[in-house]
Amino acid sequence: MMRLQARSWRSATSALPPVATAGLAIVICIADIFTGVEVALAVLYLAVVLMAARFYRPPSVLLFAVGCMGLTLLSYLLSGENAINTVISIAAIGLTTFLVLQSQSAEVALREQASLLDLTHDSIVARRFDDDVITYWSRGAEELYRWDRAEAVGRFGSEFRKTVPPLPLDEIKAELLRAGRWEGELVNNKRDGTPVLVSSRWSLQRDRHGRPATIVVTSNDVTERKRAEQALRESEEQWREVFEHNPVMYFMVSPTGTVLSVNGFGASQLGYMATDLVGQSVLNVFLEEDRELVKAQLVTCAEELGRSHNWEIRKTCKDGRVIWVRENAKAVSRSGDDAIVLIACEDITERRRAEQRRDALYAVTHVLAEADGLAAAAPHIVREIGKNLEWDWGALWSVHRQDTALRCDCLWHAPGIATEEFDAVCRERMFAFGEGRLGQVWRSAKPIWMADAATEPEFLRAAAAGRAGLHGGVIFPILLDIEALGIIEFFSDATRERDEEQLATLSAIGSQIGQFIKRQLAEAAVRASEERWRRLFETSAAGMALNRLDGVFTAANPALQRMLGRVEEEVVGHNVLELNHEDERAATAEALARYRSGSLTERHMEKKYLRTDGSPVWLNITTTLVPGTETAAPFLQSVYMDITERVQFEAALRASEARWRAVFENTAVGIVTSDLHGRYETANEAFQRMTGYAADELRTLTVLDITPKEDWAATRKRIDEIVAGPERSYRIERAYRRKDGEVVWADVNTFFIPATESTPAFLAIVAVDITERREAEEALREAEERFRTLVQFSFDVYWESDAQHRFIRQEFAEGLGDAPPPDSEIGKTRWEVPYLEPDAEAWRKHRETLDAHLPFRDFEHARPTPDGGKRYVSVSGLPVFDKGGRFIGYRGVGRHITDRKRAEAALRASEERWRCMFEIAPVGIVTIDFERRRYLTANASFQRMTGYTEAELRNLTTLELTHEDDRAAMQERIDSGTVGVLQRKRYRRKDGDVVWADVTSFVVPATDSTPAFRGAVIVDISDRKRAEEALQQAEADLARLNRVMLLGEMTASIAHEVNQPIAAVITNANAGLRWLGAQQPDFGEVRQALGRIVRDGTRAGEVIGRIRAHVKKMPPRRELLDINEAIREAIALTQTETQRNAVRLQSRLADDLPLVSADRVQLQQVLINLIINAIEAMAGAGDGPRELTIVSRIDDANDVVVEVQDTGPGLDPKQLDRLFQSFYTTKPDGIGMGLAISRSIAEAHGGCLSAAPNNPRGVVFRFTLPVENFPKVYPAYTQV
Amino acid sequence: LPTKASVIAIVDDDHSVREALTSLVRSLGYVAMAFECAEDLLKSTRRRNVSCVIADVQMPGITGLELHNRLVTSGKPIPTILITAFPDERSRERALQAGVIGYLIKPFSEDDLLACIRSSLGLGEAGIKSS
Repeated sequence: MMRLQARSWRSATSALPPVATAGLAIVICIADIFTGVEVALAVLYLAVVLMAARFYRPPSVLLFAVGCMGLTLLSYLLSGENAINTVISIAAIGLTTFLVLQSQSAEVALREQASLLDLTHDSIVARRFDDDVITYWSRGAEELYRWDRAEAVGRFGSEFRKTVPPLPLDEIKAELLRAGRWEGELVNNKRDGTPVLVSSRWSLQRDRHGRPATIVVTSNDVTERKRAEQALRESEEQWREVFEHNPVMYFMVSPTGTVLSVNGFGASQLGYMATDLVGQSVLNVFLEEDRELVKAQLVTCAEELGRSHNWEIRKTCKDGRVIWVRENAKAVSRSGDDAIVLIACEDITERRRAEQRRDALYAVTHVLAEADGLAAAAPHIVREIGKNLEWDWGALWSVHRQDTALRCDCLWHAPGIATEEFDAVCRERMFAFGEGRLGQVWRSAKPIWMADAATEPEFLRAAAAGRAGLHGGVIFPILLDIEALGIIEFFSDATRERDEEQLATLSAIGSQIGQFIKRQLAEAAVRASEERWRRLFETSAAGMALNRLDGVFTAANPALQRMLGRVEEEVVGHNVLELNHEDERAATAEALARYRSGSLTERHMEKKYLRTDGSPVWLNITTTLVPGTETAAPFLQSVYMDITERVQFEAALRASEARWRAVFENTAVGIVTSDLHGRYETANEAFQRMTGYAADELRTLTVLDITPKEDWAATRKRIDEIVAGPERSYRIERAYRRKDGEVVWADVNTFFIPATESTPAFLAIVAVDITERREAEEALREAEERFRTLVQFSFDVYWESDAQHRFIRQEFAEGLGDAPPPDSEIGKTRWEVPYLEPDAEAWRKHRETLDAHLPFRDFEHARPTPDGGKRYVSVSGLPVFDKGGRFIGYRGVGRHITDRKRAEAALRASEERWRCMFEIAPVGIVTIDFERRRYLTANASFQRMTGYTEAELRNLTTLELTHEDDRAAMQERIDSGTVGVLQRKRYRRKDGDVVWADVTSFVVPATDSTPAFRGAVIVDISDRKRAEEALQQAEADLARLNRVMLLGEMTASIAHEVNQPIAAVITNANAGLRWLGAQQPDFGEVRQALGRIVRDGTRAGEVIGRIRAHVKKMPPRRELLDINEAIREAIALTQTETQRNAVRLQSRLADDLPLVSADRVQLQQVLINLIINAIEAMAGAGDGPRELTIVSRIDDANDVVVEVQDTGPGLDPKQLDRLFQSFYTTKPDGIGMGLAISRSIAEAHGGCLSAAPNNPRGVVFRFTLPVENFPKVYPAYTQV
Repeated sequence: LPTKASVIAIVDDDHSVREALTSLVRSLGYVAMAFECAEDLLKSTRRRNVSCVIADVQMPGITGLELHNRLVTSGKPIPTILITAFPDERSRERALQAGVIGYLIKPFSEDDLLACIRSSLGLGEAGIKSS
């Protein structure tokens, strides 16, 4: 009988069909063999054994089995039933026991292993392959899932833990069947429902028969790790996000430069996709010339792991644009790998450009500061701008006046740029006004930017530029005021987008260079003027010198050095007292003291100086005190004339005249002169005695008046004959009728004396009273003797010659230096003694006179002296007749006139020099009538200066020639009698122009021969004056610019300084309200808040007060100004704003507006404010027309009106009233002070500022200024 | 009103503004901590407690924006409200890009400030949850 086969716990459901079939067969067999009771018993016994196996260990199980078998046997023995059934039952029990015991021993082994497994923390779970029932639950599993082993074993493995495997369970099982193991992560739920992520290793255990039996699952809780990993991943993602979207370019490159990774931003900044760059060399994105540097830097980085390196470098974008970047690189080592270099890279192009612009500006400023002139500075300027702003090619063009075209002055190109053809084109080409881009900039004085010059149709050199590889370009003017003096242009080898900021910088540089040129011109003018003065000083024939007030020479010109016979070192540095003749020193010292005390400003004198050889030299000196200035000490300037020869000549002349006079007066012979009509002029005493008339009476008489009537006709005839010539003398004995009526007889010699330059012709009459001749024979001899003696005293020589004109007697005056040896000429005729002058013809005439036995006078001839010089002698002689009237020879006198001759020659030369100097002097020199102040003479310089000829000037007075504005001052000086002071004044030229001049006038006192007259030296300083004015203007411009900027800064500081306290006030007020509004108001806090409000409000007030005080420190500087000029300047100052906002500016300025008295800066501040307001109003107004119109005109009230009209959105009429209140503004970023200040300024000028709607749109601001009728008085430039 | 007293740090070199803000913040029920400069806040040990920073933009030394950036890079960002008396568009953009809560122009309205503070504190709690 077959017993039910106990099914092993290892059996699997998959084996069910064969087992079921076998089972069914056994059950049929059993049912066939056993009775129901037997079956029940057998089953019960089997149950006992299985029960025992369940609870007891194998020995006990065996015991139960034996027991059961024994009981079965016993029941057989007792019942004696079918033995076969009993055997089958016992066999079944035995088999079951065996199987049970076998399985129990395996289970024990397993359990022992399991306790080992319990030692690990891993969760180990065994589940049956077939039904997933848990058969083992390790301690690790208890800890993990919180179910006890008892609770877990027997439950379905996946179900109760709500396992979420990554794959369907069937697939896992299939994998297990295929490979025997599976590994993966899955989520289980703990007992408390929390999910736990585990990492599981499943392995399949097969039974003896190789059938899949058990799945052993070893799991680790990886929730924590997973979370950490998740966090890490998230973090990584965040970093990746950062990496990708950070506005920083990141590159990861290998030390050799291969791009391993780049963030999207980095790639897109350069115009690439990240994939374009990865795997490529990073060097490709750098500018070619910078690549070596990058390479080197990468190597350095790789060598110094972990250290950061910074550099700034250029990168090239895909489109060719170059950007500046700052790179921060660091090499890090990756595990098992080479180092990689991380590079963070920031686009600093903007900053770099700003720096470049600033550097360019600095560099140009520096170059200008160092340069002597634009020509020298130009190459440096072009190079510096080009280098700093990264242009490749540059040139400076300037306007050449002679051909009124632009010409290239200098070229520059960056190293490595080859542009020969373009260079040549530029050097040869000239551009007319308005021609091409250059000409346009010249005309408009505004810069032009060309993104690509090579394709610019209006750029005439486009083709050449294209061939030279030049593309981007900029052309900007060098501006002097509003005129372009030159043009600077730059090109680069890449195209360049318009850069407004660079344009602004270049414009500033252009203006700066313009200012420099302006300064240069002014300096050149001053230098030229100085040069003229220096040359005058050096070349003047007149001596000139400068002295300190202590008398030491600080300068002496060559003329003075010649006069003094000293070289420069012997004059300069020496005191005038040393050079003075000792007679003069006291007077000089006194004069110096007076100059120092200020009581003397000019001195005119003649003085004796000493040459180095000790000989005296007479100098005519005019010394003027030049007052000190802030920078220079006062000094003396002197003009010297050498008058030594004149002084000597005058002395000789005086001596000679005295001698003649003595002869004339004292001779016993009557000597009288008359004009050619016989009217007496001078008569000596002898003649007066002879005629009984005094000299005065004789001057009223003619010869006929004292001639007896019967002789009148003969007398007239004789005079007529002698006047008509050729006979020039006659001798008669004739009668005179004395005053007392008596008749006297006289032997009369009459000579015709021809006219000389200085004297008209006259008659000389020598009358010898012969009434008493016989009686007075003796007396005559005595008289003769006396006469001769007198002659001897009076003349240098007395001589007598015989009938053949041979000298028979010569008596020389004592002490006569150049007398020939005594008697050396006796026996010789005058022409036999060696002579030098006159010529043969003169001698022939002289001999004719002698042969005709006529008297002669003043025959001048020159004889050689032993020392090779000349001795001049002037002789006069009278023929001598014996009583019978026979000629017996001549008697005469002679004068040695060597000195006089020499003096005359010198005088002529000196006069020539004077006249020449007077004529060619670069300064005007005039003489002026003393009383009437009409010009007497004027040299060529003065004629040129005034445009009048000398003849015209003689009809003009000094006052008439003076500029009308200076006449009052001039009249004042005339009235006060000021003389000798340097005056600065203006002349009105004949053509109406104004001439500025420094005038020194002096008075020349009357002498015997000449009346007093005035003289003046006039120096044309118009050029200097113009240069000074230009300089002053430039300084004023600069000062004004400074003030304009200051006002701008001030408004900004108002905003900042006032905002802080106001913010505090509002915040405090809010806090106070809060404290008050609290459920339990905190009054302490409220009080403090209020206290702070008071304090901060006061502080805000103080800020305003400080600014106001600051403004007061800048008092208005009123001047008479042309409002149109101020407007034009304001327009120029705001030009950038106008252009930037595409506003069309129109100005309609009325001509002939009167000048207004105003502070130019404040006025411009108002104008600029109104212009900027208008621009901003229109800029915010969308697409409407942007037209700014500035109008100046004069209104009915005779006020000057300025209107600024815009076409902006306009204002509400209600707003118009509030516009001028402080801090009212319609602008989002305005502070609302501009119009308030502007109105204050307008009112301070006596005008007003108002606003009204403009037609058809916008606002018009109207600004009026009253016209003041200032007297047109210019300040007098009088120096005292 | 907040249920618990958050700590708000005020950094402004201007004495008046600092005092006023401190008072206002306290009146709103927060705890105020005033600092004269950003360096002081960075050095302070109490900064862990700070939930929100109100900082002036222009300060000598570290500017308000830099302070914000430093807090971010230090790994312990604090929501920051910048205030300035000298606004310009570029600095505003940069500040907002850097992630400040608000950019207020002095004088600022109480409502704006309060809105910023509230959004700072809300963000602070949300930030803790998300991490």
